[in-house]
Amino acid sequence: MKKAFLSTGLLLITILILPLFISPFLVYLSTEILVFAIFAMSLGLIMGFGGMPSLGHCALFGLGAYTVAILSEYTANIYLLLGAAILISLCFSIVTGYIAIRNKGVFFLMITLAFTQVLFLITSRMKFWGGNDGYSASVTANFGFGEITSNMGLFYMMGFFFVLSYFLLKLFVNAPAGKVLKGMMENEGRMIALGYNPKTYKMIAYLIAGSMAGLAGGLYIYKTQFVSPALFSVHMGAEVMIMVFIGGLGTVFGPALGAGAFVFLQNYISTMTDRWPLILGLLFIAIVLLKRGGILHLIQFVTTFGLKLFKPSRSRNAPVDKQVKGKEQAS
Amino acid sequence: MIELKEVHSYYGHSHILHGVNLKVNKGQCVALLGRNGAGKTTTIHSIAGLVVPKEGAIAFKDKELIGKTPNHISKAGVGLVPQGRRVFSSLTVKENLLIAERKSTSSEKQWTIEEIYQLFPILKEREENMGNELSGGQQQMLAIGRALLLNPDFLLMDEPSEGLAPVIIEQIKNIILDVKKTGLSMLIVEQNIDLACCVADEVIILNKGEVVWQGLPNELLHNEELLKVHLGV
Repeated sequence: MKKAFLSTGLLLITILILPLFISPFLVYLSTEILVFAIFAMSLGLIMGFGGMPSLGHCALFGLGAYTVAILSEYTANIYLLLGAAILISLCFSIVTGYIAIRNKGVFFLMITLAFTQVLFLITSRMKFWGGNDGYSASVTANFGFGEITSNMGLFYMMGFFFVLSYFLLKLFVNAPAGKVLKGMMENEGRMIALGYNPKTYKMIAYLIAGSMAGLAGGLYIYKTQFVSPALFSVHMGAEVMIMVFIGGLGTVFGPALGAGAFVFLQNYISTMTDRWPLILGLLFIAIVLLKRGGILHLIQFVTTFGLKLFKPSRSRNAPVDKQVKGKEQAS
Repeated sequence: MIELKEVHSYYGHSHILHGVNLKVNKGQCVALLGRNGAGKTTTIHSIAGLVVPKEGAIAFKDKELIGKTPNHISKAGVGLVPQGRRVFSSLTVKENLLIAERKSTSSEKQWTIEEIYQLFPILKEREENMGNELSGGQQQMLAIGRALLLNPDFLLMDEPSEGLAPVIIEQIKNIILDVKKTGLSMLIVEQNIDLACCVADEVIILNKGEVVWQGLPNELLHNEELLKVHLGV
């Protein structure tokens, strides 16, 4: 629990001071990164802690985005709009989760994909809301303290929701329910033998992830002002899955790092070459082959290695009599 | 406490248990012996609900267990120490114990994590270590501690001495004797005859899915024919 508060505090401070050190363009880009970080962290929960690889998690993100875009015609109240985005995604999670969590591995993957494809078809045929061309919305965030129109304002808004999502996820994975979920991913049968019902815990995680993806989708609209059926595409589902993999599966912060790396590379490399997916793909392969824990584990590995290098060797500095004593104890 | 009547269990089409009958009374410790493939683990799994018997009856505190899911059987008061320890390697020692802690309304003895630490002081020392960072003996202690924290009325132990050094087996034996003193009923599957005969009040020998002998540990140890034919000693 202490670690959760500490890491959240550090994250909050980083978000608060980050715009002071980066260019206005990076502030603008970071807004998108923060939205995708929430989205990737939500998928990271069910994939990395629950063993549920979903290729259809984008459905919940897309639903959140469409909900805000459509309802913004009737109200500008951000609390209502984001609340509705979470609620709709939660309802969809209840229906899809009830069916999907009864399956594992590739079957879970295919079922979630099927639900997304249904939404893709529906939204691409809905001429009223733009069909394949998408739907433009004009939404401005206002929490009652004035309208947020600047990139800096949007950055802090997304940053607030990102830190909040991170903190809630940290609380969940450190709670007994989170440990049970992790144990189930390792061996479901063993956890059943301890008296736990895996479906209950998987469903709880699926609903939390669904609501969080809905929130991310709702926030996405405040950045892009536009939704399209592409949000429900396989492409989108795969992209967020790659974010989780390259960031670090089985960690809360890893997927957020993955989202950051993905969006950053997508935007920077695409200015140099049209073949940016090739470079991203190579990076993905390298991470999977070299360090399966992703960027986060790579950072941890490098830090530990660095610390070992700079740490004075005990055997070299310790007095001779102590070295002998140590050897005797070891033997 | 628990009674199996004519239990027939299968793995797919393979008929493993051919009408097993056994009974464990309250506070009694029964050891289940037999060669590899005799059906010992299948018997334990049938009680725990991990294998669903196709025929027969398993009555636990006068309630039928067949048809209930493993989590319901666990909640009904049947604890399991699985073969090969099977601690959760992605969780710390403390977390392994925390997820198992459960209060029981029927069990006389209520185990707490502190009591488990008193029983196994090494677990307290290593509470922040991951499950897979423990030695085989420590993992076995953790598996027993985890099962005790469920506060079961009846404990199933599947080969608690498997793969352990003699000195650790001695420790495990003493721990089982300590647990037995609390009045907990136990059914222990073992290959180690000395351990089984030391802790058990009664011994049952299984062969090819059938009970072939039942008696006191002393009777078994003095019956060389029985030891040779059914246990290969």
